[in-house]
Amino acid sequence: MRYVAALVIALMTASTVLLPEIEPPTPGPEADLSPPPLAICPMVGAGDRTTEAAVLSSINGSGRISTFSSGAETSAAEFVTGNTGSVLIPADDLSVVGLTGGLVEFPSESTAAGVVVRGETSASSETCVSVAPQTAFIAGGTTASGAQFSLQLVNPYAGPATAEVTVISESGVESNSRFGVVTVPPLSSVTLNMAEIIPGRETIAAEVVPTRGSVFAFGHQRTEGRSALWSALEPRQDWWLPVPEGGANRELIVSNPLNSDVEFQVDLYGPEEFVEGFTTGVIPALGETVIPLDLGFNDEVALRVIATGPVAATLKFEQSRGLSISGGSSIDATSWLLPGAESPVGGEGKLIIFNNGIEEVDANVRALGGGFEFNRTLTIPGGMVEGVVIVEAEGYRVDATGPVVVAWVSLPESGRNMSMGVPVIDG
Amino acid sequence: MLSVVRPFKMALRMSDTRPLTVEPNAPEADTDAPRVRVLLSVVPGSDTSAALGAVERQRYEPAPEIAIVAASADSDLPESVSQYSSLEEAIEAADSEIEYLWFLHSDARPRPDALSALVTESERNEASLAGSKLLKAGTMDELESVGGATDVFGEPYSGLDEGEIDLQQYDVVREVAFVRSASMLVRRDLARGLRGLDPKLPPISAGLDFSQRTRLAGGRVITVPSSEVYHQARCDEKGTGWREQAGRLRAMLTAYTPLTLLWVVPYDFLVSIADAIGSLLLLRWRPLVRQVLSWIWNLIHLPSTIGQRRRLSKVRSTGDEEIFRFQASGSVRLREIGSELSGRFLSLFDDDQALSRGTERVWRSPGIWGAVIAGFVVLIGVRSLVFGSLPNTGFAFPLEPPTTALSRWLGGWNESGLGSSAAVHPSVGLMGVLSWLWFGAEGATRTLLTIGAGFIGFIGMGRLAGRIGLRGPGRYLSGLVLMAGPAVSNLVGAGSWLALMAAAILPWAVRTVFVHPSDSRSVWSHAGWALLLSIAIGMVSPTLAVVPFLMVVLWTLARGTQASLAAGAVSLLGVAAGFGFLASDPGWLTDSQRRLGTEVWQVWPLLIGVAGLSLLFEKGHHRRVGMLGALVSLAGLIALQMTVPGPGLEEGLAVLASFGAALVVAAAMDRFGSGTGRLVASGCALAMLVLTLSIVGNGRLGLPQGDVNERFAFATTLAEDEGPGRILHASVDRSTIPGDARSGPGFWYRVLDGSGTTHDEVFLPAELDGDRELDESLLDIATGADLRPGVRLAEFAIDWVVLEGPTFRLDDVLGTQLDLVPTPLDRNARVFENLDSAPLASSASGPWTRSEDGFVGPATSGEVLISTNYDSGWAPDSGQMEWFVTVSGTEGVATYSGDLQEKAWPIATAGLAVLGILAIILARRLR
Repeated sequence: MRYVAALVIALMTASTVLLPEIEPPTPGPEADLSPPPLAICPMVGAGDRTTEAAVLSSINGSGRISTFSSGAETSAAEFVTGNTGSVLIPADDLSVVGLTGGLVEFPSESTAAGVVVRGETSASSETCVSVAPQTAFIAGGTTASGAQFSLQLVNPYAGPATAEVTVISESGVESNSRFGVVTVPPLSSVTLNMAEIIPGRETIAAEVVPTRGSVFAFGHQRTEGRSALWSALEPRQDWWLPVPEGGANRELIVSNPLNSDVEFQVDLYGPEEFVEGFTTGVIPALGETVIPLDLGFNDEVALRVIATGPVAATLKFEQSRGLSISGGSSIDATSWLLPGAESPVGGEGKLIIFNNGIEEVDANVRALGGGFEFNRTLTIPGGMVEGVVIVEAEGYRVDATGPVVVAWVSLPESGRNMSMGVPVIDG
Repeated sequence: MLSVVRPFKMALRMSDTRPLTVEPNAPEADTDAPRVRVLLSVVPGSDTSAALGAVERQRYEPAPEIAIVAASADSDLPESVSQYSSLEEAIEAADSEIEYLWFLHSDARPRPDALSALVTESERNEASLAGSKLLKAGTMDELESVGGATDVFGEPYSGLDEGEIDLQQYDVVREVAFVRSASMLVRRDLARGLRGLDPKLPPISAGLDFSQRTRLAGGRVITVPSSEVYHQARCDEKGTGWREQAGRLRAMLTAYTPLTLLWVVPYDFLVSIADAIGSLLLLRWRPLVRQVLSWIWNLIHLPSTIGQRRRLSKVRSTGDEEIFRFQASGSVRLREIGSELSGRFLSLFDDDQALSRGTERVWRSPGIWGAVIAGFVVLIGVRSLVFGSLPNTGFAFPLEPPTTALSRWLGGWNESGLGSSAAVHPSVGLMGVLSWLWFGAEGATRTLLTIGAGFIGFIGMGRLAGRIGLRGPGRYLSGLVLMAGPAVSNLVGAGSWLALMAAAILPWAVRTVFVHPSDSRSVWSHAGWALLLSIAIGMVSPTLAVVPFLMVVLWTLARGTQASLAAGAVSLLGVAAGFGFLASDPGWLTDSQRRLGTEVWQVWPLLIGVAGLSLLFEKGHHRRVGMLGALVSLAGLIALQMTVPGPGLEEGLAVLASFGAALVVAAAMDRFGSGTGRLVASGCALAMLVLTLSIVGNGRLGLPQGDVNERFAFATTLAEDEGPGRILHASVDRSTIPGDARSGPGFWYRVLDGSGTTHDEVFLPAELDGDRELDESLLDIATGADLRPGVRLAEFAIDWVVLEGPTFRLDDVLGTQLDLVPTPLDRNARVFENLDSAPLASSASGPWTRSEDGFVGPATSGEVLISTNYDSGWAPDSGQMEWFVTVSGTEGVATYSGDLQEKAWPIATAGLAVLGILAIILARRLR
């Protein structure tokens, strides 16, 4: 009996030591992230400028648009996209004063919104942004010769946000107490007026890295009565840029937000031929390369920018008629929404559809809203760009049989708008 | 919700040296403003004319009437100022158009806006008595009083540090236990009803007494920090004289009901003695004199105190609990003296003269020195509990009032989480009974039980070991291993208060099934005690109810002779105590996802195994006890390492493992010898004892520190009129969630009661529809798809979201939404306020508030929606809407009553307990 007990105790002692340690209880698996269908828009309401918003959707659903400032909602409007899947929210429904933020709550994920800022002598547009970049980079600004460039940081959410703002000009990294850590209160936007802070700079770029919460960054440029509005980009290694016609003062800005040099290559998809390595070079750390697009012809083309590190690729058009600045697209898709795309009264509008594949695709272009029927299908060979003249509408939808990249440009009597389309998710 | 007085403006205040003058752009007269009469009590040595000037400079319209209260008449007063010889006379003279009386000392210098702030905040908060913030005159805004709390004996506790500067850190209008009489605004009708301040009392006690009487008369007592008064303290408001102490005693004797006085007076007497003795140890004789004079003065003035009580009884409208709400736990005096004594004691710890002077008789008695050492260790181990407050964290939370506890145990509504008809943990019933026996003071009961657990545990272990034949020093020392053994220390460290209680009771329960050969008691006595204590252990830790029987069987198998199988069989009836709870929530036994994850240091099984093996080669009791202890302990530890047990089984196994280890230590240290086996066993036992010294470390018997209820008090403070709702507490670190937790998508969470978590809410009942709905809502919220998560959470009456521990997915998600506002209310957690919060219960006529047994609110012809899991026991006319309850609002009240099935097990348990008691009584009679 004694020896049996001894054996049992010894075995039990060994068991307690040798048994694997129990795994502590663990909670259930994490949920897949599924951001809410919304977009953040830059809103401008100055004496001579008003903002209207266009919403395009794959479905007939309802949504809500609100503007906010200084921690509170300043205006709100419900909308229904209707049978056309589109709605234009006029400036009168959006009481915008100064530079503020707008929040559009979509009826579904396959929805896009854009804003058009109209002035007496200017017009600018930009699609609204659904996801705040982890690192936002904005290039193309200038404060030279009295030009006004403002960086608008928008926080549409209930909690305060902070962001590390680094401003780079031809003088290098700008040192100013207004930069560095910038706090954006809840439901507010903070505007850094570069003309006041760093006047006389030929080129200005800014990197915005949120350190708490989410911050959406937009650029506002005003030069001699012309204005442009564009959103910051998340730097990538690969960019597609459909380039509208217009020979003079077209330039591509490739910016390097890294602290080390980056090699890049620009391929040109021209009307006649594909030029691989149209331009190559090295962008210095925290620098940018401006490539004039003086191609000797006036047609629509497309560019591809490939780099060894993440860069931001921005197109800048500057003419006496207007100014537009727009970032490229890092993805292609078979369906695109182009909110705000139109052919203005007394002007002209165009979609630029770039088939970045090698196979031929059929692209159907359809006007949404606006009262005019426009439904056209065109065939685009691989690697080619097509310009489609459009009519007055609230926006356009492009559905292709293969992946394409789509942008739009409109040239009202005065001003110039250009925006990239929004790829449609799940149809 | 009480309002914040005004925005922070420290810089302005610190540099503000302007004289107190009327602003030229004084506000226009508000003809609707209440009329106020100032009763300026003349304080000897103060400048009355300056005080009059300060009153006249008040920016308040209509200008207040001024009356001087002075023992002797002053002919130099302006004509507009009336004069009275006593405060009572001045109150009586105030005409009915006067709404408020401002009691002011002549050594006080109010700022020009002091009166208007008092009136404004009194009106806004519907307060009957409002006190000013007192600043010490002639200092850089040094705080004297911002209202305060007291302990149950009326000892003031201001919370202010010596010389603390006013940086507006207390500038929130809030309810307090008392305000100082130097500047207080009181409703005229109340002042008349209460007959003003007690003239026999010195200033601070007078303020305390008046505040308490106001509260008992149904009034609110608030402090208004925006009403600033510079106080010269010529009225000697230092509060340290014997008159003040006597005054506090009189205030207590006046306010409390006879039932409360029944335990408070003896308790105060004991505290006074302890305070006096402690002070003498610190070579201070004055406290002793003060105590004596205080009691003598009160004896002399007892008739007038009785008169005061009679007067108060005419206006009393609430019970003592209204006063208790604003009292600090424990004794302020003892805390101070204890803190000083323990500091000095520990500095002298190495000087063991006191021990060495012990009598030889003590040391010659076997086992006594073990008891002395164990008692000493436990005494040190509970020091923080004696001199401080109990932790409210982990699984340790305040007990409910006995009536509430007993009603919830007897088939009442289980408030935990989103509510359920499921049985509460049976310990709720036991604690309700014990609180009721301890004069209804659940706080004192919990303190006594916690402190007592250490002593009850080691004494019980000693008595059990004695009954099975051990006589040496190890039998009491083994109690330390029981209380802080291999796994119990882990559970207690995680806040499992019940594990501590179970460890304390278990040896007593097991002892009842062992019968000493010389025991002449009848079988009824053994059966009665076996039944009673097995019910007790079954109520505290249901799985341990089978241990007495298990021990009898094992002991008999090991050829032990003193065990009674019959008593063991009777003890099995204790299982009934926990059956209702286990039946309603079997996951408590089997769901390993809910366990705390007890990790045992591998040294423990080695020491237990080696000691057990060594004892096997001893003779008689030592071998049997050692073997049994080792087997039980090791079996418990092995089972703990399996994946099956849920938290209930985990708790039982942990206590069982420590109990077995304690038996091994008791046998190993029963006597010392030179044999190898004995030396090895004693060495292992000594090592185990050293390991248990960790309980001494934190001074709380290993319980963790912290007060979740205090941390989350913002939920009550900032609640709207409908009262606090719920708090959603989430974390990836399971240990930071108080009590039971549910598994969410990538994190743990639970819903807490915004008014504070209590013992009955520690364990969450099995999931019902509402819980599943909340789970789904959290899953949606965690995806980030919900832009307004506050709206989703409002359905569950969740007013606050608290994220704790390392940042996780919800932190990111809640950074991109619109209606949960991050609020810096807690240093260790991320707190979000729900802007879309909804009340717990509401009807078309407005929100309903909680009552003792349900909800009350304005009667309405429509339905009342109650945000709690549906059960048909709600009345009147309960209905189900989605997952929650609707009742008819016609009666203005909603109550819950459980069905007979839910009451059956508690009633059976109570019946068995009564049977046990009757058996014991019968046995005594037969004897």
